Amino acid sequence: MFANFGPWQWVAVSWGLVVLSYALYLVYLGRLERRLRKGGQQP
Amino acid sequence: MNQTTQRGTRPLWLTLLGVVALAAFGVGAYMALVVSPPDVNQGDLIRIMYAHVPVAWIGFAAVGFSAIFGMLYLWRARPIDDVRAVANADAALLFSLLTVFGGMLYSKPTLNTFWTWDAKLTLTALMVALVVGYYIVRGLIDEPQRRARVSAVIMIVVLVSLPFNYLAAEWFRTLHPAKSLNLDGSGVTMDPAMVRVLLINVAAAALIFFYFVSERVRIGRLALSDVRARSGFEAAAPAAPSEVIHVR
Repeated sequence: MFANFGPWQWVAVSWGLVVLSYALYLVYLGRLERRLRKGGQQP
Repeated sequence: MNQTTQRGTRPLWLTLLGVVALAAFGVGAYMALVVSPPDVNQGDLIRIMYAHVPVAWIGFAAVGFSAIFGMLYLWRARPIDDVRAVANADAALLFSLLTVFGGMLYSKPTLNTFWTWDAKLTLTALMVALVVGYYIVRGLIDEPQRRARVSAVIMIVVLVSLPFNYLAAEWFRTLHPAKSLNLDGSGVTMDPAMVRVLLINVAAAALIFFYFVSERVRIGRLALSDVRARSGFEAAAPAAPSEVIHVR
């Protein structure tokens, strides 16, 4: 899959991973808050 | 004052911190992807370093903060210290996972391998495993005080492993490059223009870290306020089974 990657593709994947991780963590926090406001427990 | 409308509402300073952190991340990314010169050896692949190094440093810091709040919990048994320890443990897990996977993506094009079991990389993998273990243990213990105490000890163990991780690139043979910035001030083996871009990205990652932790503490407080509202729970008092605080 990565055999034909050029430098900029590696750069894009690396920075994309950071952005995606931050976004997913914010989604997790939003879901956690909604669950707690409904009276649920923290995971 | 109406406690219902105030409960857990995001304060203005936290919203502003999020905006500033996002802007700083944008500036850092621009500096890394556009402004930074290519490296003489790595070419444009050096731009991965600006994503990899900040998350690694912040991951280490998050472990340190989580362990400090764990120690505070062991000392004074205040539930809020456990909430703060968990918030920092979240960040430790997020940033250390990013360190490992980002490092693999940096290693493949520059060193021709995703992974090797040398000291530096193995210690980093061990750190991630211990932080994952922190959450597994929290999930297995129902009694909140005991859960907080045991998980605090686990994070202190993770903290103890950090100096070995930091110095592993000097002590052992490893594929991981030696440090280019020495914290003891003994030297910088990096172009000043690159150091500037790196430090901007470290600052951006630190702002994002403080935003994530502050937001996680705010949300974690919801569980505490719920329990207190129901039962009049006092910080240091042992909780009855019906009053447990679920902060995992």
